[in-house]
Amino acid sequence: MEPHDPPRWTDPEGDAPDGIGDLLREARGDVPDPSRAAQVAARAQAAHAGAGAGALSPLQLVLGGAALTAAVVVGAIWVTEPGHPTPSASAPPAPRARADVPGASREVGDDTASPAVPAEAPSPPRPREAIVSPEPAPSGAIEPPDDIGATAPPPSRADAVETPPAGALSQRRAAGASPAARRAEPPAGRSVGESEPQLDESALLDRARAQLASDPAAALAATARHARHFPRGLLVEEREVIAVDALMRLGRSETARARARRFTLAHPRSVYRARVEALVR
Amino acid sequence: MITAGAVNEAKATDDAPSAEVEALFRAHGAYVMRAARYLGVAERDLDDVVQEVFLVALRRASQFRGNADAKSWLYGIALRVVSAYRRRAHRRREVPTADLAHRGGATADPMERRTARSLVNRALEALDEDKRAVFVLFELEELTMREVARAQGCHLKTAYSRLYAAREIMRGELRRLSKEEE
Repeated sequence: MEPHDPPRWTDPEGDAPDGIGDLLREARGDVPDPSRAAQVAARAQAAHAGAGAGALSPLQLVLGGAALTAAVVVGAIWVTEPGHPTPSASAPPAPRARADVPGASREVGDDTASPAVPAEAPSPPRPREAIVSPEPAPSGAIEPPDDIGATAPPPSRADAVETPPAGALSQRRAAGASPAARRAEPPAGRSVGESEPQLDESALLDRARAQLASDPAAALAATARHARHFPRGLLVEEREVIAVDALMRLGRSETARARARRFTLAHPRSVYRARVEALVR
Repeated sequence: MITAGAVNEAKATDDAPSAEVEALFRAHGAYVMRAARYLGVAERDLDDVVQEVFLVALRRASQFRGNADAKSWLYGIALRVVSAYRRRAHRRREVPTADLAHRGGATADPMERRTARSLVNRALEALDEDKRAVFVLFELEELTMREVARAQGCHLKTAYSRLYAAREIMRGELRRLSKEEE
């Protein structure tokens, strides 16, 4: 709150009409489960890593990181590039349709991934039939804006969501949860973690969780694999909960307790703290 | 042909800001999700829309200017992603009736009618996009007005006038809706 801001309606001194302050406070308290947000973040990360290793490459190669010339050129390269990975391979870069607002600024320069998709791609499943945009990228688009908040509100990047939800969903789920993705093991000796788009962090832990009751040893092994591949993953806390649970089910309560203690030390304010403590009680 | 080295190099330069952005998700992810709900994203689309917000944020990690502007930056991206989502949703009105039951907001399940979330969401439907954004970010997400203006990409004065207009409308709507509930 800054000095010139009016009191919020939820503040004691706010001038909200009767009952509305309470209602808004209750609405504010209705926060989605942090683990849900963490899962979504992990999926975004996997998609991002997938885009970095695959779909971006042709563009990075051709333009060599130099200033992008125009969306036309980029689109043409993308359309004609024979070896371009299809969007179905691992986590695809989010497809996008063209901006609704004619002349809306296209923030091309901030992201080498996006211009690879022609500006007027009609729909994600048929990218090769895309029409190359006749308009060149606005000259200002090459430089990333200094202050993202100050850029014009009708954006192009946000249009990335403009895909049929069902299609986007199934694509994404397929990328994250397909048996192939689950089975994928990175080659030995290769750097692991976010650079391995085949191994989806949340899919790995989903499977571990599903195995807890039937095969706790396998669940525990999966958490170990998660620890190896995603040492800085977004679902580290979720993994520890599963590991402690699996250890208890295997009757290794001393190990479970030690691990639970390490968990509470490392994440004293975790939303899972109570659950972990209950597991070893 | 692209070499593995080039990819690794490109990724390495990205890594530092990405880590900061990931820390942002940890700190604010659930709140961004809450904001998306009140900005009018249907429950069944919530994960997808928020994933898109995170993905855009990761792609733009190099533009992240550190924690001073963290909230404006992240919520600014959220506003734009949600805005695009709503434009699309508006165009595709042919939503199967079976799906309507799963939608939040204006078409909320009657079973959920009494929750604060659905009540507030129904009232928010009376606002246009800009006023709704100011109201949600200031009253529910507790951004400062300066942060709100930055996230919206508008002048502080504009943000203030949107807030007061939004409050005027919300006052009437919430009063009306809570009476209906009684």
